[in-house]
Amino acid sequence: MKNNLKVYRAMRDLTQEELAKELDVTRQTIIAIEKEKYDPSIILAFKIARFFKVQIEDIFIYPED
Amino acid sequence: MKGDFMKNYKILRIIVTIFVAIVVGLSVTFGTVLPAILAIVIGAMVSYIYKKSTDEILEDERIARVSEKASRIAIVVFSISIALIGMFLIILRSEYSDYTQAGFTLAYSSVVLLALYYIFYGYYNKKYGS
Amino acid sequence: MQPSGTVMKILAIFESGLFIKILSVFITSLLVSGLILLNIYVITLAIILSSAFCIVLYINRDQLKEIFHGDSSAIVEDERTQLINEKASTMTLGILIAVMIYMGIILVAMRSSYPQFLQAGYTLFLVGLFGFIMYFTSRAYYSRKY
Repeated sequence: MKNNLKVYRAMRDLTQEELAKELDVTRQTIIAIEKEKYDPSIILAFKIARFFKVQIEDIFIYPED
Repeated sequence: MKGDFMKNYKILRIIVTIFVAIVVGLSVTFGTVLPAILAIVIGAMVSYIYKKSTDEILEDERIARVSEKASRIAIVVFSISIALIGMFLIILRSEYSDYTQAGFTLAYSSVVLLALYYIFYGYYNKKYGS
Repeated sequence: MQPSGTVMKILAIFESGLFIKILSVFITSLLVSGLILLNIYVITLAIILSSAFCIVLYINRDQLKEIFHGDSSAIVEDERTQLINEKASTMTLGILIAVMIYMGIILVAMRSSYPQFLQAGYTLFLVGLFGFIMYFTSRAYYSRKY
């Protein structure tokens, strides 16, 4: 799923490791999400959105058919 | 109707299972391999074709997740059991000499299981972005 | 939907770096005891397990530093690794059980040609059946839970 996680992370000047620690996930998961190879669970998606103080739709872009 | 299809599919699965079990049992009793293999293959094909003959959703993400979680627990318990039993049968082969072959079979099976598991782990790790 | 805490804790041990450490200690002690007892079977078992262990280390090469440095603050397991574990388990169990049962049936059916493998055939068949039962028991448990 397309996402703007890298952009938001850059806006906050965070490394992948720092973000992973904040979200209680591994660094590889952050990498995988940014590479659009892994879609997080709804709980993790909410956690990410809450962390950046935005809506889920601002970070994750639902593919339109 | 979805309910009818599911019901029919379950009945078909029972019939196929009984058929395969009977044929395999008979072929093992008479010492022939071909009928057993054919019965298993035909049974699998019949199930598959019937499943594909409809657009109805038989398995969704919830069922897939349940299956995956079940596999995870099953494989842990299974692998440890067969590894330990195999190991004990090999170590105690002087007392249980009749079961040495069984012990080695179990030990090799547990190694194959581990190798297979980590091959698939590596594949999915790469797929989900390692 | 909260899975049983105890079960998940037990599973977490097997998938954590701790399990890899335990396994490495176990294999080492097996090798050492085999050398002390001069028992070729124990040594062979240790060699077989260590070759499988190499695969484990290769797959976990990204996390080896965190595992063996004992950095308890580093997270090595999360939902993504659990998903990978689960998918790998499903594939492995499915293939292995099917192969075991088929091979067991074949070896038992061909007992007149290969009588020396009869015990192996029965073992494979029964173990495959055991795995099958294990899977369906845990599937029934999770179906009820979810």
